Amino acid sequence: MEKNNPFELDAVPRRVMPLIFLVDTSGSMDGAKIASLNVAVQESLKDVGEISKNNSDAQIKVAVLEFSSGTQWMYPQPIESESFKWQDLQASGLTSLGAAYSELNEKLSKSHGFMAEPTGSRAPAIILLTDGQPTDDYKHPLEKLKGNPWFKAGVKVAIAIGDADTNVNILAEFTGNKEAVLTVHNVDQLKKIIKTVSVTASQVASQSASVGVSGNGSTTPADAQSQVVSSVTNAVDTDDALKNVDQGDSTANSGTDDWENW
Amino acid sequence: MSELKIGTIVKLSTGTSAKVKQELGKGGQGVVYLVEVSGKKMALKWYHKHPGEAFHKNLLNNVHAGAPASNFIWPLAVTEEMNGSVGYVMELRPKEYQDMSKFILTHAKFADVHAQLNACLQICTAFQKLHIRGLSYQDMNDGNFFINPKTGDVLICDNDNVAPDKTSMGILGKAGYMAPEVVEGTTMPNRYTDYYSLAVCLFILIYMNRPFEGAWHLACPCDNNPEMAKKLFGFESVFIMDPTNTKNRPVPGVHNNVIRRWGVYPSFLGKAFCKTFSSGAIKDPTQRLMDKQWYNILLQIRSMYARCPHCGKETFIDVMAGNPHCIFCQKGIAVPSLKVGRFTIPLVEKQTIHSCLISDEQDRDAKAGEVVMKGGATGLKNTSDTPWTAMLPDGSVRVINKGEGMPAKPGLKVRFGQGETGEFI
Repeated sequence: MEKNNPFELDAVPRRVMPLIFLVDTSGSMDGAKIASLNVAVQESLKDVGEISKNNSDAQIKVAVLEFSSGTQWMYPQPIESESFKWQDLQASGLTSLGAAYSELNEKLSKSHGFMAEPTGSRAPAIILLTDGQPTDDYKHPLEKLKGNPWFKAGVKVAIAIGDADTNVNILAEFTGNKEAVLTVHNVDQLKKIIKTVSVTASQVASQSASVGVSGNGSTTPADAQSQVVSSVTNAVDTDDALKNVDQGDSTANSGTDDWENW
Repeated sequence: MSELKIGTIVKLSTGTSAKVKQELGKGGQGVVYLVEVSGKKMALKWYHKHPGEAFHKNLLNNVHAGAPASNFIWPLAVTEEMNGSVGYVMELRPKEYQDMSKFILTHAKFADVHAQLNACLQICTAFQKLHIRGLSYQDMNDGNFFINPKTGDVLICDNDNVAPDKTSMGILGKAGYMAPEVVEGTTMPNRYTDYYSLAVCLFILIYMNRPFEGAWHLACPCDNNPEMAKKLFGFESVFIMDPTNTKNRPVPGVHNNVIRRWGVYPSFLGKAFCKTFSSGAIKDPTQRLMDKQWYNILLQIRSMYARCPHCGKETFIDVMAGNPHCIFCQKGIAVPSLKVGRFTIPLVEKQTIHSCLISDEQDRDAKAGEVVMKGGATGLKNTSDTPWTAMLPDGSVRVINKGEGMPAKPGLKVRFGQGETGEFI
């Protein structure tokens, strides 16, 4: 490279879109659930890395928050999805969902959190994975979180692992709509839905994709959340591997849970 | 489910059929398959959902009308309905062409300035030919251009939204490329919104930063919040190099390319972007530069890209700005120039005079003459089959045939065949 070459080139700056996983690592997740979750997220991150690498609009960084009796970030700062090294999670303890919401709210901040990227940030995609009901007060922390503009503009999807203990309504409070809550009944569905949701949420939230006229005929582009929901709905409707996943209030496959002896 | 299985045979509007061989890629709207049509490998875009009768009919019209220019990877046949959806067949993209987004990521780079300018010129002529047919493209962005980094040759894909101007195909565009009036929801894409998106693409290809992403854009925390996006890219948007409003200037360390390059390209190019992205043109689309105007500006830029007589490197010699200097060695370059029609061409040794600058020649690369030196004096040699007529200050004339030359002396005029008359200055 020539000294003072006026044609020297840097990549055009991209905003950073954090992809945040909130993972329930309470005792009930122990066994097949956490084991397949570990594999599925790790595999999905390879696809997310590819999306990030080829996306001229935004770069995707990944953060993982586990919550059980307390909360713990896998790494203190979000890491480029291409070089993210997954650490297998272990499950034990309670389900402190409220503590997780508080911790997430702390980090969705430009002054003291994840959103202080020098090239600017983009609203995050957040994926909540849980198999139980919160054991702490989640209402107040969620109220605060809902006042966070990054959270409001972000994409939120919840995956309920098994229908025995999870409550779609509680998770819908987090996502803002029931269609963004997906209940899976076995490890195959869990793996597949993690991949589908991670990839879809990453694509939609990171790309300034071409937009068409929204369904109601107005010229306002559909927001990221509804784009993700419609894309995931399409996948659930059309992908054979996802046909027994329940979306929103659906209980069509309730009672088919199978989490043993994997 | 509308997707096609490998081996499926789909009937085409042209009476032939396409056999699905392989899936090539998947997007928001549909899937692209490798297909075989009468033994030839082609691409088939297949929609996830039936795009509607009006869309289908428009596609058929485009197939019948044919491509406005060879750059367009145009729909060549529409399929009959199958599994509740339709698609269209087009040529495959040759391997040596790269997505424009790869250039933005610097995974692909132009071999040199010649290739870069060639790409910009090709984009302008292609869209001029499309617009002159009364069509508009509607969704121009970095995903629609495939560019050969070595030559700058351009192919334009996703032509399924091309429709008669002012006819909406339901697409709005991509954030950052959409015209402000589309972002604000006051109009649907049309020819004037194309001019805006065209300028955005040209700006990115030349200066390698985005025209509306500077300090103000960075300070807005979240650009994918719909309200914020409206502010940043709607009627209030501010061009990063706006001469009067400085609030969205490029930030050192972040927007380095445009900071490096803004002063390198001749200043009239920068002025053209300031005009087309001015607050006036943001609100009044008719103030935007048209593709033909960009074409002429780029031709002028190309004619000024020549070797520095001091250091021998290729530089821009902006003879219209006065006191041009080399962008590498910084030394002043005093050379005669030829003023012909709307163009002013600096005359340095071995510089080519392209036919399109002196006549209505359509082939941009056709050559008419070359600058030669004799005993330290600059001259112009005719390399074309068209005789030139040199006119001396005393009124006498001389015919300059192919292979002959003339001194490039101020005061001398030259008529290029039946074309323009130029003057040395």
